Amino acid sequence: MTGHNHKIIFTGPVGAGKTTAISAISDIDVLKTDENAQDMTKKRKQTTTVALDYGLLKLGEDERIHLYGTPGQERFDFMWDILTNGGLGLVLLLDNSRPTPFKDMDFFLDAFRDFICDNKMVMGVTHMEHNEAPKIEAYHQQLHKRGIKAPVLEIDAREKNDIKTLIKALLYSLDPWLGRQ
Amino acid sequence: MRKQKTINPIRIVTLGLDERSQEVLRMAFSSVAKGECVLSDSASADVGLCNMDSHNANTLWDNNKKRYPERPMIVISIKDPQLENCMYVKKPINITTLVDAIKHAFSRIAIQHSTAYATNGTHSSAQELDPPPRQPEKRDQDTQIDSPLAPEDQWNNKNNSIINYYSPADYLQEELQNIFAQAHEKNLSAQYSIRLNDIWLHITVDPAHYKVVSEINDKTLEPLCTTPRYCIEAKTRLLSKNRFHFDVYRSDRPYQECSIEQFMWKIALWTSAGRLSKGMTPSTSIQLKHWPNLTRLKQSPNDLRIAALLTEQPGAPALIAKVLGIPISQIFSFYAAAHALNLAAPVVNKPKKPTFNIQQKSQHHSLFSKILEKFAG
Repeated sequence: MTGHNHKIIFTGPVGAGKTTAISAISDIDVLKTDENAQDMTKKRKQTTTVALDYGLLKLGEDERIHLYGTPGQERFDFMWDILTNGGLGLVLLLDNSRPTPFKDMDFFLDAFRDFICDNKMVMGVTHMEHNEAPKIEAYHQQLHKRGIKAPVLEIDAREKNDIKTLIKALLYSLDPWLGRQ
Repeated sequence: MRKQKTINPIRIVTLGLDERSQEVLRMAFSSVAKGECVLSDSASADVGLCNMDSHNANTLWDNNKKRYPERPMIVISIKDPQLENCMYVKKPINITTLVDAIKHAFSRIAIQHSTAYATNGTHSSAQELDPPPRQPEKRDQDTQIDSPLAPEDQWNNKNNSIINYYSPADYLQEELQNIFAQAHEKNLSAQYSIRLNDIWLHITVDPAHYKVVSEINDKTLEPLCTTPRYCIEAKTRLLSKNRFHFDVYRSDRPYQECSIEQFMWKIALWTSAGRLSKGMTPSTSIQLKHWPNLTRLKQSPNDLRIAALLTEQPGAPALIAKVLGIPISQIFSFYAAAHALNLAAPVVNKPKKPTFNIQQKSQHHSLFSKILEKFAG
């Protein structure tokens, strides 16, 4: 990878909207590696990402931001170390309609612990329109217990503006001096 | 659906009139002027009315001319103050004469063509009113209560030496917050009704579902937020659970529905209108509990940047404005909205000396800027 190529990693459980979120902002059609879902996953989605999703943000002639979506199924977690290497930041998407979203959150925070220590993350919570609990405030409380201060925003992964705002929150967290004139 | 009146009254802001005089004026407007004139806040007024016999008349006049150089003005006084570009109405005031003067002033032509008016002539001039250059103002920050900034000034006024103050208690905001708190405490819905054009329109809060249903649309609600509370006719009642559904969803009037957070955020944002809450100072350090849910709240300029900086460490509005290079009025509005949701508060213990490092940029600063540019485009 050249110095002009960077990446943002999207992670989260099955059905949280990672593929959709990447598609919302990618300049290319997202390369998906979906397969028919097996076992527990099938209850939530007919297909699921087994390797990774890939999208791209083109910035001028020679700069690219690669957008990687991790597989939703836990058994593929061995790839995550490779994925995060050289990442600018982490976007953790959580599905509020799942039975235990805090457990999901803990799982992914543990999985990306080292990366989060050295970088920044944002959290996007999906499916809140029909599943109001837990509220955003409760997610902050959970993060606070772990000593993490990060943006937590309600999003609809299909909404481009929501994903843009999420990424902007990540960028301003990484560099609050951005946009200074 | 009931028909609404289509009167568009002339909105008058008064300068140097005490509350009692304003009340008299309000009664006169509703009776003699038959509702053609109403008192309003400074930001949305069509015509200004300045009492040149008040003790701080000259300051009020100067400030107003700086902020609203093109607003038609009427001055009232015992003696003609000999001011330019205004209409003079002699005291004791004949209300019919005053209303006529207001109508006359409402038309720019009346000012520009300088027709002698009222009892003692006028000093209108034929030339256009040129806005004087803005000068930093020195004011007593502890006692001054200011009119809200005009919309264009709220976000763009980079003259950070002008600090405008307000008290949420003087506006709808605090009353709404109290009513919402009561409703939450009693686990009942509450209805706050405002009389507009002889029709009572309702804002109903349902604490059980954490939502607000408003029959007043945002276009109407925004100026109401900066209208002094005493200018608004309103009443409150608690509703039983059955009554809530009957009143809200069986109404034939259009309504908007949102969460309590979304509602209070925008009310506080509009009420602040770029002003700082009384009791605070630009150097009072403030802290943010956590990021507001900015994808679902009314956006204001630079709110993401302010949130990012304040999440890192507490800071004073003056310092944050300097570090981010933005008008301080934006920090005030953000603080007001975040404070209304209990997300922001002044730092109680004296913090360590603030040390935002202006030079500290990410190694990817340029790259991030390009991403932002791409998103903006």
